[in-house]
Amino acid sequence: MRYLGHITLIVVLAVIPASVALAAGQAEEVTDPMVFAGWSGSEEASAPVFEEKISRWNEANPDTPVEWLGWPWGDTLDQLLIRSAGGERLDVAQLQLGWAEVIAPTGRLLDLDEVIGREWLEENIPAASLEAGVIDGTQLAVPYTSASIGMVHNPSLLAAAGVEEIPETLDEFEAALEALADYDPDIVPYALTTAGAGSVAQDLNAWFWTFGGRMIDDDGNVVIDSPENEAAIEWFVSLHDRDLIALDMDRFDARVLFAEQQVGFYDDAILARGIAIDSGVPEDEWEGYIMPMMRPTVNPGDDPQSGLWGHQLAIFENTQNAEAAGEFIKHLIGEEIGVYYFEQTGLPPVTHDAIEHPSVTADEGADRWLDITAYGRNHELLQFENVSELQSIVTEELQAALIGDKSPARMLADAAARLEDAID
Amino acid sequence: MSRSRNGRTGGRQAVRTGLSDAQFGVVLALPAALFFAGIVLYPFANSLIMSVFDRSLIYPGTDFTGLRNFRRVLSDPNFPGVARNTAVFVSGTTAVSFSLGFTWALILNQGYRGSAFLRGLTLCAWIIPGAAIAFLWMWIFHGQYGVLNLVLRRIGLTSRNYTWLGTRQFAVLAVILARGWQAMPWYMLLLLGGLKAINFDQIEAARIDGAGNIRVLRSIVVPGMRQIIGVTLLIGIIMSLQHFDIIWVMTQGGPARATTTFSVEVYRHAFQNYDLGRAAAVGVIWSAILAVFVLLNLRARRNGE
Repeated sequence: MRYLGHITLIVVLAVIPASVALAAGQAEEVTDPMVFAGWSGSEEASAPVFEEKISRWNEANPDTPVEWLGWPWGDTLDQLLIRSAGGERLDVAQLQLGWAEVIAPTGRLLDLDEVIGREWLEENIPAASLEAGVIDGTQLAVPYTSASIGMVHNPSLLAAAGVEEIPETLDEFEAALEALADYDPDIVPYALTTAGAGSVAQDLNAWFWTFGGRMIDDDGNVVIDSPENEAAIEWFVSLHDRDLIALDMDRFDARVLFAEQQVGFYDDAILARGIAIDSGVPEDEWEGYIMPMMRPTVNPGDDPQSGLWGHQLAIFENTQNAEAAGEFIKHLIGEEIGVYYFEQTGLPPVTHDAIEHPSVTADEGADRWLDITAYGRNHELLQFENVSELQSIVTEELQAALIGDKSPARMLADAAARLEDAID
Repeated sequence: MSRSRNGRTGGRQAVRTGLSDAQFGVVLALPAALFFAGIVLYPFANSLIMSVFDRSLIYPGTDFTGLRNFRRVLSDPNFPGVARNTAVFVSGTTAVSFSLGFTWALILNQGYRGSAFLRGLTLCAWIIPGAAIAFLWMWIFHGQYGVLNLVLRRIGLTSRNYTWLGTRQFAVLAVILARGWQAMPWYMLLLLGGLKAINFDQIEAARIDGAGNIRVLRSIVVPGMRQIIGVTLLIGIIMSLQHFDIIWVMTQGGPARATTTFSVEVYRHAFQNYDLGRAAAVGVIWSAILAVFVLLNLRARRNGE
């Protein structure tokens, strides 16, 4: 009898946790929130805006609540791939332009024509930006915001250094950098990104275009080891030798230092203004501290270069409610939230109604970014699925040239060989 | 154990369960064995298998490729550099941690007032997460707002900022110092335990014979601690070989791969290049190197028993 009592106790102890787990599992089916993943909602400058977007959705849709899941920008693509491969819940994700091409071969992105409806998409989103989310004929992503990565300068710092005109050519640009260095040797005249693979490769691509070179040609061939690109690298090395650019500079450091009046020029996307304000630039005087500009050109009259930049939204097959996920995307890019997002962060909306809203059309900063975007080109490495690997190669090789490990010619030859190997 | 050996308890077990002592022992060890198999053996076996397949995080499916992943890894022109970086990092961090840890253990072993508190305080560096330690050292070495530049400028040693983490030698030195500082308390704790076991009478006798501090250290303390020093160094080397987080946060393996070790290389192949097969191949090579030190450690322990 005593053993029977023990056996009963063991059975009861085993059954209780199982029952609790089962009950929890059933409860999860009802209340488990949709997962909206990305990086902007975890960044200090935009986190409150994302909280507000999600909060408005949750108030209006209590049966299909959404929760945010975020990582640093540099980790997001990897985490999305790992999470989706692991079968964990993932409904809507924020993607950088180009990431959909990487994720598409996994077959884990849903066709948004089926989820949201082709008619709604065509009616509300300009065809060109909608096209950027079409991969192999399927609409796997829709635009969330779209602009370009250009350059910004600090007008008050330039004025203090005696630079009266915004530089338009490389000679003028170098003169401005020298003036900034003379004015205050502690500042970084041009915070070229030299760390952080994704940013370095994108910015370098725009400078290669400026010098007339490319990384990849239209046929997909690696053409990075060209005389034009060698001239660009030699120019970077000379800037480094004169302390006009700095090593170990990533985009995040550049933003912080720029807001602290420690940087004259740097490359960024349209969200630069919002970040600067959040980092301490007075909101009502931002024009004096941050202003977009065209990238300087080799010769007067050349086209100023910029790389297209944007965020997209996609739905993963790991969703448990594709219909609600589609509605959530409509909520995020619709007029109300689109305009709210623009007002808070400066990121341009993507739907017709939001683009034509007076708050958007009357904004001077946004207007200048539109001018820059007019010259926008697709970054050449984004077409490859192993874009992270390719960007790392370019970054490592640039660093090797800047620290003097390799000559510009050798660096470009090595980069070409490694890129070809990685693409094959 | 003694109760089993005398037959009384073991006999009762056998009567109740119908199991012999050996079988009963296996049953008792089974949960731990299953746990070990689940979290250590399975991932390791999986890595071994993955290393001979073309497995990607992007593309579904796997193709058997034999030793192709190993050939690609070993023929990669960057591989010797990765091995060299790993050796420099491991020997550097071990030397820094051991020197600091041993010195600090000798100081704390003097038994002055407050030494117990200091011992506890020292352990804080060991329990702080690696990422937090990495940020702390990044703040020290940062080129624009780093503490080191500020101090050097204040005392007049330089008039300009240096981007320490952007230069090859200093980036390596910075990650070694950061990891060395993190691991120092662990070394201190083990070596302090060894110091406590030294026969104090021997030291007293040597001092009466006129031996100074250095002589006592060389002739009595170090020989008396040979066993614990050996084991500590071996385990320390194994831990440094496995280390990832401080390097990744501080330099991401740069500049120009100067701080790319095996751990960083595995991460890159797996989660930046999405090439799980190649990452597993690097992991297997890395494990083989680790195994040498593990075997040495086991042998040292066996000799010490």
